[in-house]
Amino acid sequence: MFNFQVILTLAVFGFVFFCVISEKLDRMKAAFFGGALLLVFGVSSLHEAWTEYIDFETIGLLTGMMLIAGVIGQTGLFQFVALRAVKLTKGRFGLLLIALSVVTALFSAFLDNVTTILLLAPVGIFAADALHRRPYLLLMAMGLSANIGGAATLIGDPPNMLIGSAAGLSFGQFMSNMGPMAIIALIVTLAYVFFTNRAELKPTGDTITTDSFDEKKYLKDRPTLYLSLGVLGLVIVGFMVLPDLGITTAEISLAGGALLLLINKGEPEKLLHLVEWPLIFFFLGLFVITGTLEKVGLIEVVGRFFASLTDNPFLLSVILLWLGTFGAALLSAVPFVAVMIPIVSAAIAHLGLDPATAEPLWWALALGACIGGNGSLVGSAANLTLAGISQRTREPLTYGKFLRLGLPTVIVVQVFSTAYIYLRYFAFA
Amino acid sequence: MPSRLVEKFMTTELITCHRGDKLRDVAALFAAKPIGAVPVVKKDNRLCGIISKIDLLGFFLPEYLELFSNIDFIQDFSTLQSCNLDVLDSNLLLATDVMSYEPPTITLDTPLLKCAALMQKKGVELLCVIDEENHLLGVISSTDIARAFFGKYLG
Repeated sequence: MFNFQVILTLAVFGFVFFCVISEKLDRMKAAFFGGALLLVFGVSSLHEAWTEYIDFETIGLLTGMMLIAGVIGQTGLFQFVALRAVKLTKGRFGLLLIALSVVTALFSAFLDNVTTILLLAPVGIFAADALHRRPYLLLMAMGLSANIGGAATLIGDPPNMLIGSAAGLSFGQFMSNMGPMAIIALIVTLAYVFFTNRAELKPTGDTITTDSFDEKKYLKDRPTLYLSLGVLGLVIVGFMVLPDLGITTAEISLAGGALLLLINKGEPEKLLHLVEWPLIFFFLGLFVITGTLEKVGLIEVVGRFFASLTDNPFLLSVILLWLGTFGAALLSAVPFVAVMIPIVSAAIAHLGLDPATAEPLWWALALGACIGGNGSLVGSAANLTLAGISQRTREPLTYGKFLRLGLPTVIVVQVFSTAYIYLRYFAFA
Repeated sequence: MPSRLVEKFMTTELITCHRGDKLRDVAALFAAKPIGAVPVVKKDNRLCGIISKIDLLGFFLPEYLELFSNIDFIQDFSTLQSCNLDVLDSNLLLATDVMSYEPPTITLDTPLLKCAALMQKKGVELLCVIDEENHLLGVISSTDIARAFFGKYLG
């Protein structure tokens, strides 16, 4: 079976993953080049790529949501809400940490995690500064919360979009299956942060006046804000009702994004910068590579291996959960999930599981990948963004620093996830 | 029409500092004279950098403010811990801590319009005039250039 096509596909796959891990070359450049190489050597054709490999459901959903998040981001809403939270907690640092974490989780559940961090983290640094505290813990808690919030919904995090589209799981299904566990994860994570940093977060009783800033100044363009929130609301309602009529989530989010483009007065050129094109192109390359891996039969081999491990769906879920956790922490969640999806599909087909019995496997993979992203600095794009922002503080986040708090919280949370999967899908099923 | 060259309009009475100078002494230069920037030179008068007034004022402010698209919401900056008006009191801060390396430079025969273009492009108010060996010969400010071009409108 090791003919030229298989070897080339493996080499391209290895090259892209080497680039993702080592960061020697940008991952988008590597994946896009790798995909093009497979096409030019005829291992796959552009026609196959376009019609079979590239998951336009994910690409469309991602593009639409990026436009919506981008427009809402420009209105100052994120900063307004976060500053209001700072004011309401009246300078109590522990309370502020909880408030900003919850705000971050909520925003990132419905909007892009990177946008959320990009807009909220500076407010965290500002608040810590105004309260004469070091921003490190606050930033860490916000970063961890962004990934947890993203895990809660279909649109919260790209791995969920990939899984939802591949397994045909709806927005409502994500909310009801991932939502409760995300809430548990947020509580457990914050509890862990508080427990391990009790000295720093102990209430001191002293409060500091926060009247010296006026968060309303951030809302410059209220008409755009109300319109874009209205569109986001419509899109979310659409996610819940329209799929029954045969309209996909990608179509709904693209329609929402298109509507915002239509009513926005900004320059077309600038508006299109709201779309994170590097991620879209990374996906295009990655889809061609995973599609080709499947075509040459490599995915089938690994899938059969998975199926041979156990035919017990619970054990398989646990394996996927923890594999996803460490895969995401070590490799970053998106490429890991993109490869795992066809493997899991192959394993499911091999074991002959029906869609309902197979569902917990997908939730396990999603929980593993989204929350596992908290395990290391490179685990998710939001973490890397956070690290970039923290360069402007006296205490920048480093790989080691992130790992020391991130990895233990992830392990504790995933123990709860394991229990959640067992209790919800197996013990009482 | 005579060609407008840097040579005719530049300032040769130079206010400069050295890399090892204390920042507080550099700050004193700005307090004494209405200048926008101070070139940093080596002992042999070769140019090695420049310190602008705005860069020095930025020293009082926290770096993270750059991340905000607008700062109107902060009414009283003095409540921020990182705003430190005494930061320049320190003897440890030197010219090298704030100077920009490789500032835009020109030569004696650079046309004035090119200077104006450079200033606009790089967002600076002062250009250093150097010879082939990087010796500082003078400086030309946006005020000098304005005098050259707008002088004809004088009463």
